[in-house]
Amino acid sequence: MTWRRAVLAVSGLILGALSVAPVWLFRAELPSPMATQWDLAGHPQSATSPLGFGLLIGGLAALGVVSVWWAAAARSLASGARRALAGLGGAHAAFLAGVACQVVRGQRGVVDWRAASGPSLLDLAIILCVSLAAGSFLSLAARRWPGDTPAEGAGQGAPATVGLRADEHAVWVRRVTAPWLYGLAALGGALLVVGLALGQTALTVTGAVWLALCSEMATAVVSVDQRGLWVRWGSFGLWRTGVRLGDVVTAEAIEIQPLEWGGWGYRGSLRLMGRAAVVLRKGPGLRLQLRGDRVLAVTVDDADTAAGLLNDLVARRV
Amino acid sequence: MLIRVDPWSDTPLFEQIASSIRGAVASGELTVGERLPPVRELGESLGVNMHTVRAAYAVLRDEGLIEMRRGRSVTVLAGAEAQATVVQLAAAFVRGARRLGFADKAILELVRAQL
Repeated sequence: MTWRRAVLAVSGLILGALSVAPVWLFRAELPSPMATQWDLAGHPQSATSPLGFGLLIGGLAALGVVSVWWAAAARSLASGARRALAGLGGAHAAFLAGVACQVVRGQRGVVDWRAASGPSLLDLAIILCVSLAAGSFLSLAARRWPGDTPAEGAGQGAPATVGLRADEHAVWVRRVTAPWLYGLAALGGALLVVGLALGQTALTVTGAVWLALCSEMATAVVSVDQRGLWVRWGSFGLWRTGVRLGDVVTAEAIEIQPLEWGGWGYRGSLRLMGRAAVVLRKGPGLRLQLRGDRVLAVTVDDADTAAGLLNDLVARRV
Repeated sequence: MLIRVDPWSDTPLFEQIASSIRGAVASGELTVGERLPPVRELGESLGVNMHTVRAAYAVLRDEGLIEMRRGRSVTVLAGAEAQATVVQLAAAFVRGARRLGFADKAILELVRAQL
């Protein structure tokens, strides 16, 4: 929709301008060189010319602005990817704009950069919150546009079924693994071995934690029964997530492109964004349309059967 | 793996569960080392008694398809795919022969004659 595109385009422009405007507007009042880096105690560490600072901040912020504009202009972008581009790009540019404002504010009228005070931790925390808010706003603006192609393959043909009879009970269970995470886990194992060999405790512990985390995250068990759909993560199923059958409207098998869902892992949030995905790999998966216009996707093989069973169970409830 | 049970069927519940899992092993959907759901969990999912699930697992263990360790996981054994396929063939053969009116003794002799 055009006004949403306009909101994104204008927001990107404002954020980009905000990141360079402070240096430009107050260039006459700034010391040259001006301080650009402080240690934890607040003492200036290094300095550069106001022009250099403006170019650096502006250049970095431009990356975010371009990402927001990309989201605004792209015709064939899944809404998930568009939200990620707009949200992350917006937050990134807003953070840099905030930093630029604070850095300039602290140095107006200062003659020697060595006397300049930098942004406090509180300032940085506030900037972080504000930029996250800005990112969320842009992500909302990019949310769903009329005319979006149903990129995740929503509602084509008749819903899948396994022909469950009225008295029948059924459960569907399937393990899904992320082969690439096992590669990362192996890297952790290598660290562990090296750490042990060199007697480096820190390296050993890092390797062990890495190995454990990666191998635990590399596999999940997806199950569907009369209670709903559950994903148990890891070999012990320590962490689990899912939806109750009562929340499911329809289920279908789709092809999942990780980038359309925000990447790998547990992406999004059903409560906050109305959209979440358990993405362990690229390829076949399950897409659940939930009550309250929410969507949950899970990468898993044999998703046709899972979708069919869910649809049959839902139909029986009604 | 889809496990379906029909409480009104003539086939006992544990046999229905075992047959579903056997089918998944035979088709290669459940591979070597794959873990089956814990007894209690599967019971809750299917709305059947834990002992029914345990009986199903016992059948599969006796057929050499799975390994059950006390307090530990239930896993699919090596060679289970071929084993499951043969068990399915044997079951289908016996069922078919019985339906045609053959006595068990005659069925045994038929098998022996083929060896």
